[in-house]
Parts: sequence; C-alpha cells; structure tokens
Amino acid sequence: MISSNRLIWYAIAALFLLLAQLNLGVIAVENVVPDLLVIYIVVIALLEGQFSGIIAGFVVGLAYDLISSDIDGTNALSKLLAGFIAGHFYDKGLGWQGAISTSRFLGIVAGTTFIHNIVYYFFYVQPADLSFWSFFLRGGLAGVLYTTVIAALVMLVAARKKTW
Amino acid sequence: MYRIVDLILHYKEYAATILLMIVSLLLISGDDDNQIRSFRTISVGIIGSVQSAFDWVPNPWSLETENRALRRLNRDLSLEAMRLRDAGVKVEELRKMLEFKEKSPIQLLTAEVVGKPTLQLRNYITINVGSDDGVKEGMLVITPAGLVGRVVGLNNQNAIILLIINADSRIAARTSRGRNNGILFWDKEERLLLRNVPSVLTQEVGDTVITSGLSSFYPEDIVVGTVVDIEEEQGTLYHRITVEPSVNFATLEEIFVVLYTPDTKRLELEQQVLEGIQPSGGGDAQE
Repeated sequence: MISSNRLIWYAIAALFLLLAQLNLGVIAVENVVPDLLVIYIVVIALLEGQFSGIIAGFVVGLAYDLISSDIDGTNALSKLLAGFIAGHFYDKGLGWQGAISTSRFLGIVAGTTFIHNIVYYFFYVQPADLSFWSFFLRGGLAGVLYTTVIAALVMLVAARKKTW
Repeated sequence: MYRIVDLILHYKEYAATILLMIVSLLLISGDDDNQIRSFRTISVGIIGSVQSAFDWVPNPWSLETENRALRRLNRDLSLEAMRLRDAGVKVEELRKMLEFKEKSPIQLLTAEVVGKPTLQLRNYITINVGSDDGVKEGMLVITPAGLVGRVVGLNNQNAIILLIINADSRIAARTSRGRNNGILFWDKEERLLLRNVPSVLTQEVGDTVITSGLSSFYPEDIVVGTVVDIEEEQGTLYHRITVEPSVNFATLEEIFVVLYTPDTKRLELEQQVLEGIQPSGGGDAQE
C-alpha cells in the first residue's frame, strides 16, 4: 500500500509532468516529442508494482485525454497498458535505485513506449484516412527513441543519487 | 461470493486492466458530451496561458525549420520577382510595338519568332505568319528599333526571314546626317560594315544609318543602326564604316512584317544587271 505522503508526491509529479508534456514543443525535433508520462508510469510500475502502474497509467492517460485535444480514452488505454507491461518487471528486492538506475530501466522504457505507441497510433489514425504503419514508423519509432533518451537522463540522475 | 472476491483480488492486475480497458474503449467509441467539452475548453484556456508564458524559450529545431521555410519563401519570392521583372520588360516591349504600329504610316503585321535556325554564316529566323496572313516573299521585317531582314521563303503558316546579319545580306543604306550612300554588309560577327562611301566625304561617329531607298527591296528611311567607327579602307578610296545594328538579334521575339511588296519588274531588271557581283570584290554589290 502506498503511503499518503508518497501518493501526494506522485500526484504533484503527475500534475507537473502533464503540464510539461503539453509544453514540450520547445524541445520537439521534427514534431516528435518524448513521452514523459510513459517514463513516469514505468517508474511508478517499477517502484510500486503492476497494479499501481495500471492505475497510474489510466488516471494520467485520462487526465491527458481531457486536457489535450486527443480522442478521449486513447491515452487512458495506451498508458494503462504501458503500466501493465512495465509492472511485469517489478522486483521488490531491487529497491528504487536498482529499479531505475540501470540500463534495464532503459530497456523497459523502450519496450513499453513501443507497445504504448502502437496502441496510441492505432487509435490516433482512426478518425483520419491515414496509413497506420507510415505514421507509426515516422512518429512512433522516433518517439520511442526520444523517450528512451530522456529516460537515460532519469537513469543517470538516479545513478548519481545512488553514489551519494 | 468470497471466492469470487478472492479470485478478483488475486488477479487484481488483470481485472483492473480489463475493466479499465473497457472504460477506455467506451470513451474512445463514445461521443464528446457537453461536460467533457466544457472541461476541455477550460483546460485548453489554462494550458494556453501556460504555453504563452513559455513562448520566450527558443527552440533551436523549430528555428531551423522556420529558417528553412523562410529560405524557401525567399527563393520563391525571388523567382516571382524575376518573373514579374521579365513580364514588365515584355509588357514594355509590347507597348512600344503597339505604339509603333499605331503611329506607323505603313501597314504592319505582327508576328512572333518561332525559330532561329543558324547555318554557319547564314542567320535566319522563322516567324508564325505565312501566305495565309498576306505575307509575300521579299517583304520586310522590322521592330520599333529598326530593320530585321526580309522574307525569303514561306508557306501558308510560316515565313523564313533572312536577317541583315547574314552573309547573303546587302542593303543599300545611307547615313542620316552625312547623307553618304553605301552598301551594308555583315562583318561576320555582331556588326555591319557600310562600304562604298568615298573617303573624301565627311562622316561622323554616332550618325544613324538608314535605308536609302536606292534598293528595290527596302523602302526609304528605315533605321538600320548607328555608326560606331570610321577608318580608311586600305588600298581604296573608300571609308570603312562600322555600324552597330539597332536591333538586338539575340533577344528578338516579336517583329512586324511590312506589308509592302517590292517592285518585282524593277527587281528582275536590277538582278540581271547586277548578277555575279560578289560582296567581297570591292563591296559594290547592291540589293
């Protein structure tokens, strides 16, 4: 069970990341932005377990659906699945440093973002007459790469804290 | 009942995933209701304010994209400006031609140059009017700047023009101020030579050269060019006068055919008398 203190911190972090995600245009490369929310969900799932990851994914995704112009439910679905997948790699014995300060964390972020982007782009292209694969290969894979690069920064910060 | 609850709790991750997936899919398939729409309007307003607060943060990638777009726009505008400049020149040329046609006492037929066949020293142009338009062999071709040549061949739709810068061309001409008569030949480059002007006669650089009317082919007073150089022809008693043609043959696009037919009887007579005279043999041949 997550303590209420940690829950508040997670909520504040989620709120901050939601706002940040909407303002990532400043670091967009060819219109591709990293998905900070997926990194957040992976961190929650690795630290708190699969169930927490699923709930965090759904809540954060739904909140993002409501404040962005995305189709309602697309982010909720793709992010709850991200929490579900990342939660499979939850290992209580690793502790928070072991969970996010190794290259294992990067692999989990990359894999989770890949699945997340497949689900997200599948629903994203539905209302328009767009080819899923061309859209996914262009935006989805680049998004996976960019998200993994940002996750590497998170990993490096966590690794430095580990040595303190 | 407890067993079911236990089962759900045991597989709570799967149960939660399935339940939330169903909720998400319902949201995806459902229409926006008014509450969600009004919530979204408010949130978009708040987020817009936050985003505008971060507008000052530069994005090097977006700047690069913007630069690229501006460069493309600059190139397109340059091309457009060039096209407009060309169009302006063309309009000016056509305006001059129209004025010239309106003021001209002789009947003129407008034509376009459709080909510029060049065979060594024989420069011709092809125009888009022919016998169907009233063009006849021997008719003159001019522009507002001056003499271009004359029709030497035609069919019902096109005519071939022998330019004055052609090895076969000889024009009876005179200088407008000095009134010195001579014969114009092409110098095989870009200019004409006015020959047969006795060296005892005074001649000045800058004088306009016009057709003299002594020729059967060309009526009087059509501008041909300007005197740019005068020297004594070695071993003769004549001037060697270099004339710059007033027409720019490189940019020739629109011309006029003068609907004037030379006196064919006079032509035949002159042709018989002058037959066999070569342009290089003292320069006394005349058309």
